[in-house]
Amino acid sequence: MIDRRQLRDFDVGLFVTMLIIVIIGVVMIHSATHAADGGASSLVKRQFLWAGLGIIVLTVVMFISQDTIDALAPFFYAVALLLLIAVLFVGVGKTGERRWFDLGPMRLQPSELAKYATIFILAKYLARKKTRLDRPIHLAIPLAIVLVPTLLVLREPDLGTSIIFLLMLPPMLYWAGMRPVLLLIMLAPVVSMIIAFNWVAWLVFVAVLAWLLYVSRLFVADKLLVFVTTVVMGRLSPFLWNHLKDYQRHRVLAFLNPEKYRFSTGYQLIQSKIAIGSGSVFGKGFLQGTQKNFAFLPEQHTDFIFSVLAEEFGFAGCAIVIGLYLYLVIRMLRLASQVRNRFAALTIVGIAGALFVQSAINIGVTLGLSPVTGMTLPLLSYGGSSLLVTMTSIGIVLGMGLRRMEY
Amino acid sequence: MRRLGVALVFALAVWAVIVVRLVFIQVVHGPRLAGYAERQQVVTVELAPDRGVIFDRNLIPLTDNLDVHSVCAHPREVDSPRAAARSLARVLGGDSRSYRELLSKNTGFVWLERQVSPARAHAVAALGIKGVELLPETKRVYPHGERACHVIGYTDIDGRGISGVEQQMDEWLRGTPATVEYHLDCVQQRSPAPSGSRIAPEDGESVVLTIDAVLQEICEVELERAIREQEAKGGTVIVQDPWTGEILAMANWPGFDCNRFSRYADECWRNRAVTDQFEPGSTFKVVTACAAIETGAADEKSVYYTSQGKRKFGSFTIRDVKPHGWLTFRKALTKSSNIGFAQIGGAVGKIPLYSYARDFGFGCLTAINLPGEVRGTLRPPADWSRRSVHTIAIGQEIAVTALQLAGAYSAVANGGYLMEPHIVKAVLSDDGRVLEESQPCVVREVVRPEVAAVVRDMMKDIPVDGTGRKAAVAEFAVAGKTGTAQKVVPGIRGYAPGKHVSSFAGFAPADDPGVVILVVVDEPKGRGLGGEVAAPVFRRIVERVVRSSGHELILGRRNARPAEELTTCSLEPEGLGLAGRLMDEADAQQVAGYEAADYDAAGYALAAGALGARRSGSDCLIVPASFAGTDADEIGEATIDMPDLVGMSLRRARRTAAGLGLVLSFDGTGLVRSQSPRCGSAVMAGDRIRVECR
Repeated sequence: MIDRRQLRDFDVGLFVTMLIIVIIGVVMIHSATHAADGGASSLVKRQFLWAGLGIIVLTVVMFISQDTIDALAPFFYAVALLLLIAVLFVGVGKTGERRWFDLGPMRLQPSELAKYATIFILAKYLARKKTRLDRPIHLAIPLAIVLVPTLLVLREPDLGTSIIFLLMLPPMLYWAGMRPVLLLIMLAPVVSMIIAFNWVAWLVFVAVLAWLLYVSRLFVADKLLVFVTTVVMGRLSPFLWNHLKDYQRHRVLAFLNPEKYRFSTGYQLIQSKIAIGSGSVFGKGFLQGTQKNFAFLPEQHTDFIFSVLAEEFGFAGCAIVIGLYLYLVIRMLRLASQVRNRFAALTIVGIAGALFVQSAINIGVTLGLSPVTGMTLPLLSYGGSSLLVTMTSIGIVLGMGLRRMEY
Repeated sequence: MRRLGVALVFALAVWAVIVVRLVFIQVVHGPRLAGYAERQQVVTVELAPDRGVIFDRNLIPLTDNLDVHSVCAHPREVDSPRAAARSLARVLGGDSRSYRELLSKNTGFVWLERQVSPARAHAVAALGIKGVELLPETKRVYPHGERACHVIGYTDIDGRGISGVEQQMDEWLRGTPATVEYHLDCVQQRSPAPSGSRIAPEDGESVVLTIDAVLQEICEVELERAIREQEAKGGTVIVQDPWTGEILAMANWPGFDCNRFSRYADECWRNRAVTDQFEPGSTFKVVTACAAIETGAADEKSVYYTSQGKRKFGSFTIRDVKPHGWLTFRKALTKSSNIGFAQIGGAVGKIPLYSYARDFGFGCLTAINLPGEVRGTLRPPADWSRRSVHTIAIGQEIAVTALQLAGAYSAVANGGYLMEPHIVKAVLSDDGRVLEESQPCVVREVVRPEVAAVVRDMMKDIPVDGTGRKAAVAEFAVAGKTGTAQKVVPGIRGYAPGKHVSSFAGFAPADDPGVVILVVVDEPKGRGLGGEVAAPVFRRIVERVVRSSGHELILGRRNARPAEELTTCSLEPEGLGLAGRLMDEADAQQVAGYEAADYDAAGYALAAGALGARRSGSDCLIVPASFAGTDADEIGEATIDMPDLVGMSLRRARRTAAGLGLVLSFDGTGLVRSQSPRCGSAVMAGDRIRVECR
């Protein structure tokens, strides 16, 4: 199992940072719910219990060997996919989506589990000695691994989570040794999809890309592959846009022009911005947030908890929390560069990436930097199962940290 | 290690973007966004004060405030504008299409119909259309309709004075609205703001006019009668107290109903007494006479040859109505000889004539508290032509307002003192305290008292055997001067043929003037002689006043005037005048009592007491005890007992509710018949309560 020498390698900084964030979360949940109704204390208590449970699970998980995870990765992946398929049939959600299994006292969100299963299988694949990553075509398998759960989650529909699946991939590929240039080339189809809404811009973009590919030193087949993918994705984009749900389209439109949709989809954005802005430098003080108290803030204990924080503790409080998240990611990446096991390193990078992407997008949403995605702020937002899963993933990271000397 | 560095830089870059954005929102835009937050979270509700009452000098109220409903809508909440508009049109009697347009607007609020009758308000409430609401409002009403309309003026639909005393005294009348701050959450639910301050609305102050409502009515009726008989275009009557400058009546024709002013033509709205200038004609000769005697240019014994009714002054011919031959100064005034006065004017000379005209107040604003006053036209002597000194002496080439002319006659009547005219006598607070009181103010001593006495004496002849015979009354001697001026009409060179301004200015009684009365009739039919058209109006007014119970207006004023007031005017107190002789003992006492209450500074308390009693008797403005004691702490408290409002007048109920921070809605008018919630039940500040009235 684990000897005492290994216990010295326990990453206290990572653990304590996580704990601080969780405690801040509980405090903010108290603030966000105390004025709303009498049920406030129960939410705080539940979050507290979940956090306690999280620490237990985290501790247990730490003792699981990375080789076990490595070995079980395909199995996890398969189970995750099955759950994702199952949830499409028996799942429940707030407004007709099928995102959760209703397990009586708690709800299980299979996409949360699938996220980590996907990280494991990706790490396993990328850690193989014979996996090559020097040509665009080599992206095919990792992309496929990610796309299957992504599309399933998109079916639920849960746009926000599916985006996390996609965004987890680049950091892992990079860590696995893919050239940054190739990663940038991966971006070409994405940019093409966005630009496709303006014909002239899209044609210019395609022309520039063609020229860049022409002068690059890739294989001709690769050049063609990239070019064709880009063009096809660009042409598909309007089609996909039309197949988005109305509310999803509105979220994007409202993000682009919140004032126009100020009474509908843009409402959240504007109210959040008002809350954050009125917090000013040092905030209105704990429990004093008026935006929050008068319930102008939507989803204030879940998706928009950062706005409550910003209103009550101002820029100072926000800077501290952002600093904590940054430290969390830095700590994990440092660990990733220290562990000798390649699978472990890639898993840590995947988990760090997911955490980073999710927190950045959530905060970005509250600041109007990103369309509303319905994503929670990991460790801080109210939500027991999400907290538990995130803490478990950190347990896995900590466990891998303990075994940093193992190959 | 390189991978770690790149990853870190990337993570840092992303967070940097977020931090920059955060700085932008919180530090740069923070204050602005905090303002937004405040605006959407705090709503201030205005508790409207009652507009002050305008009283006549005897504290007869000339205005009133009614609690009414207005129909408004929140168009975004209206489900079917078409159906709503149709049923509203049926109930309110308006145009269905215009309602539909209003209801289809993409705004938060529209007025549909302001200040509707209780029956219609009830019907609208019965419709129960979502998004259509009744808002309680106060409506200004004028119980006397057309009476003194030009003086009182009117308010716009929002209760701001926009004409007359309503406009001039708006700052006093409008009061101070109280604001209650509420916190507003996202579903527009109100809760009292913990830190919000609340003060009671301060009602407007009452304004007491110098106008006597009875006299005003007499003047208006008589003026209208003359105008109808003469088929005239318009007219003005001013009654002024020569000793104080107070305007006792100011009547204009055409008038309008203050309650419905917008239905009248613009020309009805003008207060001609101050906004219109006209050539005074012969009425101005009194000014010339004063100047002549004061400067020594003429005395009673001076004689003038008036030819055969026609004489050239330079190249300009001046005519008399009929040839008078040789005339004394006195006769020249009695017969109103233009030729005689043209000569007198020449004898007085340019500069003295100008300066006396100016000293009598012509060409200057009187600064009366009425909007739209003009200064008239009195050109400086440098601009005069050679004939001007003659024509101005007979009241041509000079334009005056009726108010200026009345003021000049008052100066003659009171011994030579030009008094500042007043229309507002006092401003009273809600509880009857005198906040401001206009004091008689001497503008200047224009002529010596002896000179004024001589001119007064000369004027006594005019109603006896001069041009103003139709102004004479049986009871006592009156004095006055007629005037018949040709009119200058735009577009016609020289004077317009057949268009006259007839006037009569005089005072009664002649020996001890109690009032100065000026009658001006614009464009009467025929020759329009002032003695024929205006003098009878003067007579009828004097007769009616003297023969009615209100005769102390004219006769009883001076004996009760306090001594210090006379010293202000630098006048010798005179003994009991004609008034005492004409009245029996009882009357005299009554008059004295009235005067004491009216004039004595201490007497105002009496008047105010009467005011308070009258008010508490009918409407009751008694401030509830809780009102005065309300402070911020109390607002924070959770519940209060619902007061018993049944039996109160609506206004009092509203007061009581406001004092407790309750928002009152009502149905009907009059006394409160039922209330909800019931008396004694727990309510919170900011709650809506409802009463039904009968």
